[in-house]
Amino acid sequence: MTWFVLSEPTRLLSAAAVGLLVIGAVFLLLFAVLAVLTASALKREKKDAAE
Amino acid sequence: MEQTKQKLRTENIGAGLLYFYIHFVTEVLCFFMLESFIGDSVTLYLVVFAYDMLAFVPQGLLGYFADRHRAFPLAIVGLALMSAALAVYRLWTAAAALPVSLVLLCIGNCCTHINGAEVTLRASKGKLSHSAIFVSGGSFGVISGKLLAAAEFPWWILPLLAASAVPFAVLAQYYIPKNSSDTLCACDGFSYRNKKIGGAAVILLAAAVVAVRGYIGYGIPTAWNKTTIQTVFLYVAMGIGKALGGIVTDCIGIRRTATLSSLLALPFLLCGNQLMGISLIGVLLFSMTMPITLALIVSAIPKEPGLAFGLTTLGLFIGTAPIFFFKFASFEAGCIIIGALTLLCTAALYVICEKGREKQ
Repeated sequence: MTWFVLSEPTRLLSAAAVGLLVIGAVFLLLFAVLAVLTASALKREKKDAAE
Repeated sequence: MEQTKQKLRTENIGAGLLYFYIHFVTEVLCFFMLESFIGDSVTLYLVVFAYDMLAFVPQGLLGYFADRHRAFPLAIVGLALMSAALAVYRLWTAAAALPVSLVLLCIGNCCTHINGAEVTLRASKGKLSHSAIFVSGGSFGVISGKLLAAAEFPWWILPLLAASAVPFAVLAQYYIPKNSSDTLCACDGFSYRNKKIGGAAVILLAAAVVAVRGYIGYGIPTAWNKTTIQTVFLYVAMGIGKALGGIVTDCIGIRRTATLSSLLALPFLLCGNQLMGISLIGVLLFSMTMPITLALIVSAIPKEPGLAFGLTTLGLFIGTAPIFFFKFASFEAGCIIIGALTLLCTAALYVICEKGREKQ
């Protein structure tokens, strides 16, 4: 027996919240990897310039 | 006159023209599909937001890969993936069709963009016209894709359009310099940044300018834009502006182009809310800074043009993401914010751009 169901606004809000959380997490992961790659590229550039 | 002709005479400009078409086809496919997705308002909102992220953010990673595997035919893979995305969405009836096709579409989009940047930047020998012409093709593709979707154009013709770009991609591949034994051979001649400013600061400031430009681009007051033909004019002005940004930089230098185009754009943008002609001049000038920020980041990491291009698209995502949550409250608020941000961007570009005159 079902006692409660989510109202339409709550259902839409929770769908949007979960979606945004997933997108945000993927973004943060990609952003971190790109930051590391850029830092290493800059380091390599500095090293080459010094040589 | 002869001097200007000399500056405009560029080697390998064919790479830019070939990628103009490939970029055009890429955006036609992407925007045809985005406009064709069906779902409730929350789903469609998340689809567009996810598209923005998956098409823009991973380009840096793919660029890093492309910098190390220059012979890999990324554009052809990209065109195939986007065609597959279209087929999956139209032919597969399962609920997973939408997310699967969206991911395929975004990865395909990344592949063609990165390959275009890689080829045009490496082939240009330090000139900016090539990559600017490549970038400008996107604006024409976006509006064409939207119009085809609105006209309910048969979807199966789109993979044929993608196939028509394959010979262009094959030809463009020959423009990549192969004479260097160095895997990470540098983009020769890209020295557009102010050498007194550190590479990291140049990248951060240039990416910030891209982000701000992305944000205010959506807030430009265009009350005049009410009909389809007016929207076409808007996108055409954007496309021409992007191409002109590179061509003018090759003629008069990066710092002059950056500061003049940004400052001149402002009055036209703010006064053109009701006047299409005035507004279009502003949009054209405003779009000219796009290849400039790319040139600045490439100058900081000239051995990694793919990664550099990816950093500009990362900035674009960071700039466009707030649009999903905040909008300018009023016309006046928009004008003040656009004015202040444009002045800040101009100052940043003035500081990080190379002082010298035009590139030879």
